[in-house]
Order: sequence, then C-alpha cells, then structure tokens
Amino acid sequence: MTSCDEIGPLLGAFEDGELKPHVMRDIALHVASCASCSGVSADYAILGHKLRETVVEPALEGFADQVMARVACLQPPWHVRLARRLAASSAQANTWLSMGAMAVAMAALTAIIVTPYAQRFAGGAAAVQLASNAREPVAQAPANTSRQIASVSAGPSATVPVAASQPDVQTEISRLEVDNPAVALWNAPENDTTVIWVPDQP
Amino acid sequence: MSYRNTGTLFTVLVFLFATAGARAWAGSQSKLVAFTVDSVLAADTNKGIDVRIASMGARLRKVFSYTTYRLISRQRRRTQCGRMTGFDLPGGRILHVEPRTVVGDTIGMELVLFQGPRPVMTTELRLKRHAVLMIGGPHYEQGMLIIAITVDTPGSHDVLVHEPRIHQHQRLHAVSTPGQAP
Repeated sequence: MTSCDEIGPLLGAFEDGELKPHVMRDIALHVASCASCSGVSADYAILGHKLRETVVEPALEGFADQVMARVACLQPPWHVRLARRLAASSAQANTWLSMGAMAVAMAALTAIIVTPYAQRFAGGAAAVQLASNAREPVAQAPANTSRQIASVSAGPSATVPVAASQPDVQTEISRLEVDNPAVALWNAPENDTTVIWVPDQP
Repeated sequence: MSYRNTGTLFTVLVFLFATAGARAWAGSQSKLVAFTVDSVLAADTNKGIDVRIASMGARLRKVFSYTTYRLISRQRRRTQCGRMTGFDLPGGRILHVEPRTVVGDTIGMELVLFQGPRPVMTTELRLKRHAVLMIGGPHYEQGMLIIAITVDTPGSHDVLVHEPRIHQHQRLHAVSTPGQAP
C-alpha cells in the first residue's frame, strides 16, 4: 500500500486517527515522502479544524441527572420487579422471623426459670385448699383391683395437707401406686412426718 | 438495624440463653442429695425405744402406738439428681430412690419399694429437708417394719432436724386400719 491511489481515500480517516496502528504507520511514511498526499492530508486537517470551530457543543451540565431521572420513570420489566419485591419481603420476613425466634427463646428461658417457683406457689395454694378438708379422705384405693393409684381427688397433685395453721407443705405426693388396695396415708404435720402404710398382701 | 446486625444479635442472644439454661440445668442436675434410711422394727414387746433412734422416738410414739422400736439398719447414700440409688432393707426388700429436683429446701424424688423382684409401691413426691417419710406395713419378725426416710442436701446452710415438736397428732385418713397402726 504505497501508491497514492490507495493512500488517498484513507487520508481523511488518517487525519482523524481512526485507522489501525499499522495502517496509520504506512500512511504516515507515505505522506512524509509524497508532496501530493501531504497536501491532501493538510487540507483534511484544515477542514477538520474548520468544522470543529463551526459546530457548537451542547451544554452537558445536568445531562446525567436528567438521563437517570428518565430511567427512573421507566417501568422495569416484570421479572425485575418481582425479583426486587421478593428480595425486600425476604429480608423483612427474616427480620420478623429473627424477632419471633428471639421472643420464643426469651419465653422458654423465662419458663425454665419461673416454672419451679410457680409449681411451689401452686403447691402451696393446693395445700391451703386441702387443709380446710383435712378430715376428708386423701387417698381412696378400691378393693377390687390389684394395682391402684391413690391420688387426691381435689387436683392432679396428691398433696398431703398440713394443719391449717401451718400452711407450709412438708410433703407432696404426686403419684402413689401400690399393689395392695389396703393402703393408708397419714400425716402428722406437728412432727413433719408423713406415713404411707402398705401392709403385706394377705 | 440491618438484617445482618439483627441476625448477629439474635445469634448472640440465643447463645447466651442457651448457656444460661444449660448452666441452670447442670446446676440442678449436679446437686448432691443425701438420703438416710432407717429400718425400724416396731413391735409390742415392751422394750422401749432403741437408743440409736432416740431422737426419732418422740416422732414414732406420736405417729404409732407400738411399745418397742428397734433399729435394724441405718444406711446413708449420696447421689445426684437423676441418679438412682438403692437400699437393702430387711426381709429381702429393696428401696430405690431417685432424686429428681431440688428447689429450695424441697427435694422431688421417686421411690420404688421392691419385695424381691416385685415392685410393691411406687411413688413420686416432694419432701422437705426437715420432713420424714415413713413407709410401714410389712411384717418382719414379731412386728412391723417401718422405713424412715430423711433427705438432705449436703452443703446447704441448714442442718437436718430430727427432733420433733410435740403437739397433738392429727390423723388425716386411713383407707383401712392396719393392725397396730393408729
């Protein structure tokens, strides 16, 4: 590519620097040694300067913001909207889940700590209630069964009551299973003594 | 608060709660419980009360009406909550005791009385440290066997008190009146 016929059409692009590096180099070598092409190239350069002087560049202040504002007004595709909504709801759900789990953990811990005291409180209340019926039967074991469960009829906890003047329960029996139906149960609160009488089977 | 911060806080709280719960549970489980089981022969042979159980004599006389109380054996065992311990009783009987809970001065436990291999009584109860549970009724030699069970938590500031206060005995109920029992 050394003839002026080949170089000539490329001179405009050469002046604008739009050619590949090796083509730019060949043309530059040719222009340096060819007065005709050098003149044409100079004409292209002058023409370019003139054109750039005539063209008024638009003002670009705020252009990016305007573009972004228009982009924001555009409605994104449905799958993009769906993905965004899912992501937002997932984060919110995780937050609520975390808070719920935290509440459950605190409730469980509170239950663990409070339950023994609550049971004691409930036991004391049952004892006071049963103390008023201290003369009533505490345990009843029918004689027609071989294995009986003696329990207090007033509640699930077979509390052995103490005297009404002494509300502190010394012994609470929550379950009593005996082979012998002739089981007896005494309580002597003044002696802090409870007796389970299980005679031998006849 | 961001999601990441919330998750981190939740993890830390769960860890703290789990640690506190585990420590509380381990503390309850590792509590030592001491049992004393006295096997007493009660009879009407007018021999009085064995000096070895003199401290329990007033209590026995208030609850029962025998004229002789003789200590056959006294056994002490220590165990932890959740661990069963056994006592060999006269007449081929065995008492299994398993403490379950210790809340204040009240010890929750399960008792199983065996006659040989056969369980004749199973009970779950809570007993205060100052209280005595007596299991009676089985015949032994010329009288009745009375098993007196007391419980203590070693290391607690109070001591077990055996000496009873003397007041009027209150009988609550007897489904059927055994031979010498009041």
